[in-house]
Amino acid sequence: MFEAFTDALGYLTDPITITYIVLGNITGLIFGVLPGLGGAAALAILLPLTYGMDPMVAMFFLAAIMGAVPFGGSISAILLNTPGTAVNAATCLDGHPMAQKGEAKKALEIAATASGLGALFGVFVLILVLPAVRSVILLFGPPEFFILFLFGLATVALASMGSFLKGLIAGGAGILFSLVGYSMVFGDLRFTLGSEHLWDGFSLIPVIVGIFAVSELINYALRGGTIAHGEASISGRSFEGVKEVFRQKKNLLRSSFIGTVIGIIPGIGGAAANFVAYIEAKRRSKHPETFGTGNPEGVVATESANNAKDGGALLPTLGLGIPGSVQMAVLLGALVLHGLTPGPLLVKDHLDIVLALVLGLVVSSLLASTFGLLTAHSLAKITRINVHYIVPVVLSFCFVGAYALRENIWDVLMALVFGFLGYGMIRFDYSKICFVIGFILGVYVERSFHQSLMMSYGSFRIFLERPITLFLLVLFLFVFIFPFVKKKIAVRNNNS
Amino acid sequence: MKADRGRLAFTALILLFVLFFIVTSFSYEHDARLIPLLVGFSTLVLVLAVLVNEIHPVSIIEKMNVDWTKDLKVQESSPKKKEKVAAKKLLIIICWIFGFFLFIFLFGFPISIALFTFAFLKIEGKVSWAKALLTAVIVSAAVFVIFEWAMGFGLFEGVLFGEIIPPI
Repeated sequence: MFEAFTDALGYLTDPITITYIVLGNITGLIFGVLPGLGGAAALAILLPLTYGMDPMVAMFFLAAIMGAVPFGGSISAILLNTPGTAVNAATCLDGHPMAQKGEAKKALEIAATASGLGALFGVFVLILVLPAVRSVILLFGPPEFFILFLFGLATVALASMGSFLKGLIAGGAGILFSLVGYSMVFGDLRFTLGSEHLWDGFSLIPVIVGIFAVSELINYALRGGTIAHGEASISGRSFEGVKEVFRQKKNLLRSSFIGTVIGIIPGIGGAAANFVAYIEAKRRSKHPETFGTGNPEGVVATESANNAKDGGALLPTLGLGIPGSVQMAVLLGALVLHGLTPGPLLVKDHLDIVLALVLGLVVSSLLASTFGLLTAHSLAKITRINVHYIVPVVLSFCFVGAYALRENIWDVLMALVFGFLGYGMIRFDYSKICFVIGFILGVYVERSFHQSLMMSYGSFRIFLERPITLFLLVLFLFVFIFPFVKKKIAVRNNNS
Repeated sequence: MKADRGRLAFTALILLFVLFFIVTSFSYEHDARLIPLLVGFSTLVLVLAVLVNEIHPVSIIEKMNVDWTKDLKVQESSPKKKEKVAAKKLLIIICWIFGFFLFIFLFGFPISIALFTFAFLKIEGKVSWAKALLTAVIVSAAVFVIFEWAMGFGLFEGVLFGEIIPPI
């Protein structure tokens, strides 16, 4: 582990890596400030640019984007009462009232400091847990991975947007789409409808760009106008917010811990971490009645939790191949693009990549806090740009990005088609994250399923005979049954 | 309660996709069709359940369709997504985006990006000629510089300028 760590650290001193981290940071802040686009869209659009890069540099670049998005989102949440990303929704509750009281600078400083320290906490926990994960990972074989995937998909479907059934449908559809093209397991073509373009299946970039970026742009175009309408003014004394965060050590640690733990649970994500930390801070506060009127405790809680959750979310994403959030699902796609197999073996065989992401996240969070603070006023103005400027500019980059990797014009058409599919999913409450997880992991699922059957000479009992698969199956059933039991109990309680 | 036609149509579309995968799977060898059939049939059952729910909104299926994490949902999209969207506006946006693709196909990226950006800003955004023109030139130049010069990708030049169309 030490060798991998020094390897990753060596990259961090390379001027090219530093340049990409700075670029990723600026991009992350801009996408974070723009409501609706967020980290997943930023990663999807910039993913093609990383093709051809050294995978380590690419990971630093992507981590830089991920680390900067939450603070970008808090700028518009505090100054304009419009959360840039869902993870900043709770920041509006006290951050914006602080800005209205003339304490915008203090609120931004609190957000910047708490974000940076929260990220450090999340990553610290991740580094502590990683060695343990590595030893557990050695117990995982194809049958365990197959059941783990089913369990992960069910958990994400349960927690993600829309209904549980629709989440599962989206996951199933994602798997089916991933099976299109030449099968490495059987050596034949499937579901291509005679199209030569589909021999290699649906290319990852057009699918991700379409589902996450084009779909949101359609939403933007339909909405029209400007994104936010408030006045963004920054006033107040310098470093008051930084001192405030250090006065609230308990709140900071507790909220960072909540963020990290919620981040680890696949699918729950930052929005929940944000609110749970806020509610907990309010519950434990000496002045809970002041929450919602501009209490700095609320900002410390939400901002530390939403950055700490990224460290936590990296654990299931990198250790198990199950993304902890939407942007982690896109990150899985990035790993695949760079020839890395998501799942248990990644931590074992490519620890340097994992540590590049971890270090990138830390550096980026700290950099974003500093840079964001200096440029908050200008960044906030982006939200008052007419969306009609944003749509053609970002759409052009989406289409070029979809085209660039294989230099195939039909990939642009694919991005467009998946964009409309993604828009339909937004409108009718089908989970996009479930679809993308199914799409990215579908091939690995099929491979591990057949490897399991080969190991057992065609017997399905292999999934029931191994302790880990059995444990995961029980958990899987619990995930399915628990909601119904809970609802029944609730109905009975209501009746009585 | 009245069924939402758009919702119904989208679910029906997914149903068609799933049926396609199931029906086609039968033409493959046993091992090659195993996962598509397993996933296909499981998804089919769920789609049918949702379809029944959408035709008869208050049904037993909806009762089963529990949501115990509604307070902890992952927000995957912009908050205003639920706004009622006029079908006409959606159709216009579809035309814009398909038109953009068609222009790329015919004239290639640099020209189409400039034309699309200019036309979209002028007609949809109603911005001034100068602003629309300046933005169009800057975006097109930025794409060209980043992708063609800096990264070495060969941008599509359009069939009218002799670009060869790859097989579909």
